[in-house]
Amino acid sequence: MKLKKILVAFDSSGFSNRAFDRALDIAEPYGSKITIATVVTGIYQPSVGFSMKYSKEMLENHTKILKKVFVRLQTSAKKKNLDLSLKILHDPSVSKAILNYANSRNYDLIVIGSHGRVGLNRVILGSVANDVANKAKCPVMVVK
Amino acid sequence: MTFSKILVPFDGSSHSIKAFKTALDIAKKHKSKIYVLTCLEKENLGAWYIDKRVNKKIVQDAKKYAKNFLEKLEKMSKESDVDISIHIEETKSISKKIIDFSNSKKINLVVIGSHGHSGFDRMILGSVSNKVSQLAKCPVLITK
Repeated sequence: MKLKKILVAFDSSGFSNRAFDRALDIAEPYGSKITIATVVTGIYQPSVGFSMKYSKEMLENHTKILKKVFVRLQTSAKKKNLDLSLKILHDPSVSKAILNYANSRNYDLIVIGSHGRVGLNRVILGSVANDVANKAKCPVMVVK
Repeated sequence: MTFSKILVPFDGSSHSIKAFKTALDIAKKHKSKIYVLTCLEKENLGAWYIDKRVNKKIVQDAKKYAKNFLEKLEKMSKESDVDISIHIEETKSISKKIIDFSNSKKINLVVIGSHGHSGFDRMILGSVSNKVSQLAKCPVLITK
């Protein structure tokens, strides 16, 4: 198996932080390139559901926070001499965005936390993790 | 070492062979030990209403066949200098056995094929891999 490119689905929850750590562990001997993928879903409006409209300030705020988190991740990746890049996706559906991105760029492995920010903990897989594990074309590592 | 023990549930299908090869590759890089677990389902034999001895004979034959098959894996792992231990177990529920085994041996990573012998291919996850990915306490790598 080649492990040149690894995608980590990241939402800065505890589970995704753990997923990132495990991704570093598995990538270390391979020297693979790791991409952190985050999905910005837009605002939820009860009348229309998820829309892709946001105010400029909000988007700037989001990216600012993301970049701050990314710097922290980069320092831990540098300790293991691994390449790290950030990709911010814009899509109302998180799992679709991750799947489309991973399938179109030929990633060798997707690493994902078993749950994100919502959901019953430790009972079943979270909806995004489940969707990605089912539909991805490449191997998927689910981290608990 | 974070991935010192890797479990590969094995049923002889092409998906599980793929999973084993992936595990072997990871084990080579991380210098880990591989556990191969083959589960024989007790209840599913169906000959109990004729004669109980028939069932016993079927299980014995299945064990012999499994042993022969697993010796090939042993050879493969010896060629690439990876520690391996092989387990053949009789059980009523395959997924439960896999999870119990991974808990009792303190496995760090489960590598499992997306499907086994049955189920329609490539649509959704197979039942065993689905259950293992949801209930195992360690990271689960699902190969496709």
